[in-house]
Amino acid sequence: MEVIRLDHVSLWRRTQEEFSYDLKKTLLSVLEGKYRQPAKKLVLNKIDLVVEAGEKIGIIGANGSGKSTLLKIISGILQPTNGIVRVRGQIAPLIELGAGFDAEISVMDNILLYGVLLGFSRVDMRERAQSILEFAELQDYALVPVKGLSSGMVARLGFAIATDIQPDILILDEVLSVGDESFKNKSKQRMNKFWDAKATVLVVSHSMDFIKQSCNKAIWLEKGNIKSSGKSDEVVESYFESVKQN
Amino acid sequence: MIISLKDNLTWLQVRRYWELLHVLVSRNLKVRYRGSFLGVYWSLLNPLIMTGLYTAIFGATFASYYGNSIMNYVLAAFTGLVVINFFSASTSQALSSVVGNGSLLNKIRLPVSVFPLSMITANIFQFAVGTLPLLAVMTFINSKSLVNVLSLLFPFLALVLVCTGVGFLISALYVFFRDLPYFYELVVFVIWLSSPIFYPAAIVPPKVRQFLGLNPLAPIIESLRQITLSGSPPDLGLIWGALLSGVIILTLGWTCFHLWRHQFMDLL
Repeated sequence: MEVIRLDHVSLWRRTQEEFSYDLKKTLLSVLEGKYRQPAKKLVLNKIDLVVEAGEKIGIIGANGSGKSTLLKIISGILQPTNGIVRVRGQIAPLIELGAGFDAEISVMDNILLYGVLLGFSRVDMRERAQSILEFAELQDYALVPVKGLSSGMVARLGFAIATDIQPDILILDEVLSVGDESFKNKSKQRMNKFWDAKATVLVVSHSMDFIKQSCNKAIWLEKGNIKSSGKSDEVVESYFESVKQN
Repeated sequence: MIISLKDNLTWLQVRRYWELLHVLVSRNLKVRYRGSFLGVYWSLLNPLIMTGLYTAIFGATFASYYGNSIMNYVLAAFTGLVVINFFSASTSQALSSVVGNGSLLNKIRLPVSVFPLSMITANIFQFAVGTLPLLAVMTFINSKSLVNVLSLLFPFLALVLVCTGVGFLISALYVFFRDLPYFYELVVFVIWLSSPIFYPAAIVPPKVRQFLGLNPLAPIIESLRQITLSGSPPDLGLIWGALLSGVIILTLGWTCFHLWRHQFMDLL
């Protein structure tokens, strides 16, 4: 069964240099007749992609080749300029941990907040709260505001909330390893559980060994185009070769 | 997007929106009032102090316009201040709400409009707990009529509509123009001075007075004062006027927000 399908997906975005963040400047340039439409850049070019349920797909390529952007398109964060994106099932973005936290409110409130941001109901999160606190080893801190935690604790909390679920599709921008050695083991085990389960996984990584070992398929992006796709070891090999040539 | 769930999709979206609004509003209120003894009642302090100040300075001079009663001046100034305070607080907070959550919007798929809306809602809650009961008591003492007390909700609804519309508009504009807060401060000041809050509208020269009618808050303040202070039954004409200005501004704000929304992500 196919869970993700991208048909001819292209994305144009405003380029960084053209940010006109300024009302005063914009008004002046309009008055002087110098106003130009902001320039746009093609970030993804006619991407066709079909992902079957249970596939583990690694996305590789140089910095700025559109890897993270592709994940954002699939998660629905960005809308494609052209083409159709179809996704079947619940997507869990395993994002930079702690993005949804508010430092001023308590750990417990943050569990509710972050959980709802990720798409769960409050009732659901209240039931999960205990197991999340347990996994993050923060039972004694439930009522402490997050600004009172160490950065390692915050990362642990983020990981515990985001992974306390069994999503249909898991999206990973770089593999996570957080906390001290003992927690790293724990988080690794939990990630392995995702891998063994039937979940579909899309992961962006610069670690080619990881892609070869853990993914059965790989996609190589270059300047917004799919340069090649197929079995992960083959794609990684050809990627290595092209890097060597340069 | 999710094909298999198409039938339930709108219901799920509404539910999700509601859940999001709930956590964001309670987050706002918790952050704002954590560890403060007076809690939500701090929000009353500002209009009360300002009313005292205006009365001390202008009360005696303007009393003749208010039936020679300083008390009437106090009440008129207070009702006006309550409206303008709600407007300036809720819209200024809405202004930065989309940009402030930009990094979050880049990581999780969220309905953008929930952020300005949550700011407005937090202020509604604060108003309903702090100021509204006080207004209700004032109204009841003045009019001895529950009809007047209940119809307080209409000018307040109009105020909420205006603030939501303006909130949508400026939170969207702020994405494109990061120097907007300076301009908006000026706009708020103009609206503030051009609303007859601490002065009677009668002292404004007739030529200028017609422009005061353009102020979207003017019909709301007028209707609120009529209900709270006049002692006569609510004037439906004034209420309709206030609601109409609310609906127009909300439609305008939402349309702009909706049209520009797909460009937000490139700039956040």
